Amino acid sequence: MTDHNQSPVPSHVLAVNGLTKDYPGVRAVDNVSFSIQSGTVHCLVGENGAGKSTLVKMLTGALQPTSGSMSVNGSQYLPGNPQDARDGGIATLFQELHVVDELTVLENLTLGMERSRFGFLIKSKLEDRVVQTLYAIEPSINPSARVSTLSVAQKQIVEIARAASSGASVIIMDEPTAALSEREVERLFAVIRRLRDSAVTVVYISHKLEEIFQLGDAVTVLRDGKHIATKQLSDVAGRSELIEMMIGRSVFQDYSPRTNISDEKVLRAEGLTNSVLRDVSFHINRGEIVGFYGLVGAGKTEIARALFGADKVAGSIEFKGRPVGRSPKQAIAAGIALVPEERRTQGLFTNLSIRENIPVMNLRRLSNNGVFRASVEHDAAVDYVNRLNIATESIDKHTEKLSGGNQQKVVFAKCLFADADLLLLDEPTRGVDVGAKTEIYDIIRNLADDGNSVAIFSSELEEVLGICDRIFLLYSGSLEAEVINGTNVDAPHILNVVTGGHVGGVQ
Amino acid sequence: MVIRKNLIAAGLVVSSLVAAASGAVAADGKRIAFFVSDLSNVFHQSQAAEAQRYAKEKYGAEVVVFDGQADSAVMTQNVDQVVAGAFDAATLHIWDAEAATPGVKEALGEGIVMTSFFSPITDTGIPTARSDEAGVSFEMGKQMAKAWKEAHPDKPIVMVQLGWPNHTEVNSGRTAPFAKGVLSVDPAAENLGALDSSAGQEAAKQIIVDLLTQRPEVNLIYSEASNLTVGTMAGLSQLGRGKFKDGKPVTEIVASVDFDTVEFSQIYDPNSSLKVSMGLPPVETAQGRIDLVMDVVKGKIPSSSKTAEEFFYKAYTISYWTMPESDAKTWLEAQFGK
Amino acid sequence: MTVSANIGRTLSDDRRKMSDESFITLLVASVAVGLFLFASLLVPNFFQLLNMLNLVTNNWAVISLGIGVSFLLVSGNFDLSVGGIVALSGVLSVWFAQAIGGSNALSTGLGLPYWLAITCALGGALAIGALNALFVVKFRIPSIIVTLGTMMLARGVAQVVTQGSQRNTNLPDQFGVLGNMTMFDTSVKLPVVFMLVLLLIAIFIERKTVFGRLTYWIGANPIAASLSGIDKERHITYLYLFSSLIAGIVGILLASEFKSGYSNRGTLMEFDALVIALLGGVAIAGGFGSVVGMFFGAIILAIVTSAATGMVLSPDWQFILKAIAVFLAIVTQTWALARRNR
Repeated sequence: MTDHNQSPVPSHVLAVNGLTKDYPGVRAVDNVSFSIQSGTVHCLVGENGAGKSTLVKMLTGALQPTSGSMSVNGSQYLPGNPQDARDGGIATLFQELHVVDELTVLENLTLGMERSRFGFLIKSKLEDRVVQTLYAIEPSINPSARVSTLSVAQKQIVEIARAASSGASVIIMDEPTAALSEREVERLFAVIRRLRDSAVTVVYISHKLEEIFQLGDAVTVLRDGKHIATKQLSDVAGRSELIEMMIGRSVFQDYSPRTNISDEKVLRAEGLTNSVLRDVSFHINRGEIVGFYGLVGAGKTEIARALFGADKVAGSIEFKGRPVGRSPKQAIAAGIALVPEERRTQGLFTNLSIRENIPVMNLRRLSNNGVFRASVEHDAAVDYVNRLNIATESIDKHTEKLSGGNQQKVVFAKCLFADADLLLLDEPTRGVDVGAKTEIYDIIRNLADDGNSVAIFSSELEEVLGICDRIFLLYSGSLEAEVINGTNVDAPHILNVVTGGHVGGVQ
Repeated sequence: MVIRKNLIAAGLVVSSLVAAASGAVAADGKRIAFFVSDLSNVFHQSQAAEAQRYAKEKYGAEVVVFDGQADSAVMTQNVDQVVAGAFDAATLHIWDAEAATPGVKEALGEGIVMTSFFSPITDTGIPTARSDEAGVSFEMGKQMAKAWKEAHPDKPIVMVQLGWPNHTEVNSGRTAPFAKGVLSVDPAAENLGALDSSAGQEAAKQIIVDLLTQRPEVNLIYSEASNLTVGTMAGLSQLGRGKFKDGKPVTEIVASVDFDTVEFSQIYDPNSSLKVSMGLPPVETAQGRIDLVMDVVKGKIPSSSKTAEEFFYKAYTISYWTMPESDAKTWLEAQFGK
Repeated sequence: MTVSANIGRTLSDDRRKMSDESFITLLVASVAVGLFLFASLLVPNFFQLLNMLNLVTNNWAVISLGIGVSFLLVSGNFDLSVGGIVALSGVLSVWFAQAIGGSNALSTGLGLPYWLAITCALGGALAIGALNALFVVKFRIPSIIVTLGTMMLARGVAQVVTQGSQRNTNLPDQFGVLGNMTMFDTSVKLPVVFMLVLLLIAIFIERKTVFGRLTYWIGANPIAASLSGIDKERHITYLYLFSSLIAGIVGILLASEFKSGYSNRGTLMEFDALVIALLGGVAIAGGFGSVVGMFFGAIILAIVTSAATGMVLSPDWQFILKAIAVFLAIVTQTWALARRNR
């Protein structure tokens, strides 16, 4: 990205000065000052707990700063609530989906912007504009379709279109690509560039550093609530410098072949077929990490849920010689655990504490003739918080108050407590910061080294290449190819297969 | 009587119109529509049977019974049936007078003689038959006050009523005259007023327990329906009260309405504090209603007047002090059968 | 498998920290005490031991029902059928126990021995609970609709059996024993003891058993619960049967106490049970609440009712007072919880 060199004389659209936010006992944001030039893509990076979310919440009026000031276009800006922020021209695209399933795409796009006359809703040019914006991002989404019929990726795109069409001068995007496949990411990037070229400023938050180099003009790095640096990306030497600023240690890991994989086929799946899957057969060995890689909608989640017994599927699944796949309960009893795709809605009990979340998958260990063994629960929580390095001051903290990476670690702790021999991990690092990501990969490798098997269902190529021993490539519900990971793996070939370029038998 | 269940909304009564309006017109007699609020109630069953017998015997008239099914909507609909069914006269029993007013006016326009029972249908001015509840309530209050003063001349009278404080007819027939009866004996008596027990016997019990804990001095209680009296007596018993000693009051005296077999044994038990009850006679009530409607037919009474004229029919004071046990037994059998 | 130690970070001793549930329960209890003291200032003779006891003994039925309703609410489900079940089981127990050959239809029953009559009446109550479970679990119909339907069904059957009125004659002597039996040489009656024992069992289940914890998990996130291997269908079935069984017993005890099967008994009790649970801090969305909170919610409502009775207020005023109390209690809770978790 060299576009910023051609930008007109930079003017600051948004500036924060000495911004501080205190929680009881914690200073989440500590005297942060930086400014953002208008018409740029300004990236915000930092590890979990670095203060990104708190900063964004203050920018969007969801939280009030303890001290410090903000300004928009040079004038004082102090939003009391999210509506104030929108009125001030700052729109936000949050990490979690905020679409209304029961409404149509168009109704979602215009939600909160309805105009009425004499109590009747009137159609306006607004509708035409949002339809055009949507079309520019994703022509395949029908504006009159009900949102509940869309995929997660498509819902995300609806939200992006909503923010893009709101006429804001600044759009804050918190992990917008977390739910998107690479093709969809490319399309989003095109839209972001177009927004920037039309003088809209994008504040872009992502854990994917490549995206930042690909897209960003400038970057602000936060660590432990403090401002570390704001730099033009052209002045950043590379990933390692950025990572250095964020955490002070290198996190990029290459795949190193693992030696202790047994050839005992611990799981066999034959001819799995349902509304998405088409005759999928494979096996997983003891001690092996396998990856299922494909675009959104290729059938990754469906395979994970079928193996876990959460969805009905034709075909046969055998685990350690016994049939499974009837129900999650049966799967867990047999030694299979699932880290589901959406941790907040499927994996966690967000209004319960860390302590109360962990033991749910292993009631037998928890029960003494039906009576709850509170000490087991307590000790397990302390143990996993320490072992998985979950950042919390108390095991009684509600999981909804944890950052994404720490939430995911709690979901992992649930599965570990269940003593599973096979872990199914559906997008295990989505929305997780770089540091936690590395830790999660270490957990996965350690599990496999201990003789457990792991299946990772991911739409991030870097992830499957970085950790999996064997990778199954999925396209449109069928298993197209199998790749043994190694130093000379052919990445372009893999991308070709999962985008439908190679339709053939298993290699 | 009607109060026993009528103020409590009930749904889902399965049976429909019981007596079909299809009978042939009596040769020279009149056809009278006879409304009852709820034919599942024993009182109304007796009343309906007596109305049919009495009208035929005395006036050669045919009575068709309309069952309100304890549902005010059904009662209102039944009014329309009167016009459609070519009746000569009707005696209504309606809970929602306002809703029924248009139907009544239409029937009057068709020349049908309309009368009401229990509740006046105010805007139409049609004559209304009522049991003389006020007289009985007054009498009961008087007897209880006397008995109390005789036994405890030093303890001032404090009275309370349990029922439906916002209900006009209950107030004018029960609550108010009872208080007057007490005050006629002891003008210094304190009246706490009426408490809402419409939720039923558990509510009555709870109110008695709460009230008498905080106001143990209460000594005359008017429980304005026999169903509530069950709760009242249970509440008294929980507090260790509810007793007489050898026919003399100890802590309080209780009156009830709608005397039945269950109350019979308590009233004539010298050790129970339930001592009086209003006897509502289905036989006399039915006869009174038929007489009123025939009087209007014959022109003895104007078919309507500016303010609805009320005609009272006898109700009985069933009392431990004034009615011998054997008379009470005879009364029960005569009115309700054995 | 240690990844890295939590260096420099200490976990606070969590077991001493109060949970949100305990916090709300304490808050509700304080409101109850405060309200009692306040009412004592207004109403003469309000402040006395007997009156405090009345608050509990008067409300044994609705508190008992509140236990089943609270568990279901915590699991994310409504039970509006309990009032109807109270009427149904009471009416059935009377009908089954009434002797054959009474003078009219309402005084003639099936003449079963009393123990069999109440067993069969409980069977009727459980049948309604099973219907609730069937429609909620199997056909996935929202519980508020299902139990609204079974509420009317149960009361409708009770009305058919009593012809819309009541059955109170021709009963064996032992029929009135259970509801009026006094315990331990005091004036405390069996139904009150039943409620207290039930409450203790419920607290134990809620706090100390896996069953109780399952209820919270299911209510907090039914999808995550299923994906964690919890058989939530079976659990919710148990909860509905549990709730209908309590309602059935309450109905039988009330029928015994008043020696009558009355088809309108328990009218609006389902809503009272719901209101006291909400007053007690049980979340309408599930996953949060405690039976102790529900108990104090009932006490709050009872204090208002009792004070209003002592002051001989008109029904309209009683209604308004109750509404204000409910509103204030729920607003206070929401506010306090939001403040605590800020």
